[in-house]
Amino acid sequence: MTDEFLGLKKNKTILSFLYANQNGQLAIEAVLLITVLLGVFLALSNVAQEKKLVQNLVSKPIQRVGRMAGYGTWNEECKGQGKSQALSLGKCHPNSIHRSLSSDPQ
Amino acid sequence: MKKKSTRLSNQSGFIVADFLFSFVLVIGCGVLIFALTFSLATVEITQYIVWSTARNFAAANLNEETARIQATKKFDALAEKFPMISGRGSLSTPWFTLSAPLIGDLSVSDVNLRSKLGNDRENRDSGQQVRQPWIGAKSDLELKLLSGLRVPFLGPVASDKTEFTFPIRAFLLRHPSQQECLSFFAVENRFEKGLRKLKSVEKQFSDLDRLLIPAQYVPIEDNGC
Repeated sequence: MTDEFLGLKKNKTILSFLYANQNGQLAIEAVLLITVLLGVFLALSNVAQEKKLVQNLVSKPIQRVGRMAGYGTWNEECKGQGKSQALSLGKCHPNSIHRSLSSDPQ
Repeated sequence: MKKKSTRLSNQSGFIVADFLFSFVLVIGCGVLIFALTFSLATVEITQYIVWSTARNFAAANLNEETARIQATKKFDALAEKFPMISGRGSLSTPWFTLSAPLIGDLSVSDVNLRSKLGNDRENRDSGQQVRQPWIGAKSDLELKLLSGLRVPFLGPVASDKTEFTFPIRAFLLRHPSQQECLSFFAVENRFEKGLRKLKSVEKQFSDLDRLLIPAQYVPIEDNGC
């Protein structure tokens, strides 16, 4: 018989209380997880702000609605059917169609 | 057995953090969707208000000015009924504002439209007859509800707030007024500028001046004016 411990040797250092049990491991891992997840979330929200995600989601449809309400078109500009060939938003309106108000449609 | 630490071994309170986080996100997105749908509905109602204004201006009246006054009254009456949109009255909110209407030939009075029409506003045929009258009503709608919105973690909705102010127009040709109708049938117009210059009349009657004496031309009373 020997009194030698064949498994883990008991640590008798001054810091042995730190790893004598697993208490606190959960807290440390929770802090790490929260830090990582929070970091990822903040990075994603930062990207969303840089890419103007919400602005594009709302502004563009509203602009299209505004063009329809003001100029009768979804398009940004049109070529008129009259004499002028220049592109303009006003020429998208149905009133700009040459035949609409003419007694001599062309 | 050693007693476990109660602080770390149970999950109490975890749901609070989870709930707060999801609550902020869901409420933020919910507010955004509410503002968007409410604004779109507002555009529809505003379009009705402006259309009604244009319709009142289009209907035949004593003269053009009377029709304009009538259209303005209609706009004001409807704007009072929708204080949330028009920003009028004691119940008004800063969610939307509707500007005073422009009524008449918008290719002249509406600077914004005029700049986008190019030469089309002058588009006349060889007889100088106006082919494209942009007659109607217009009002500017500002969607303050959307432009001032800020979604948590995702930033403001509007990068440029001017994009959320846009014109709403309605075009309807104005019917001739009573004044214009009477003027059309007057001797100096219908007789001098019309009948007298007809080639067929001139060929058929050699003594046109004797037959068509201005003094004898009398506009019929039942001419629809």
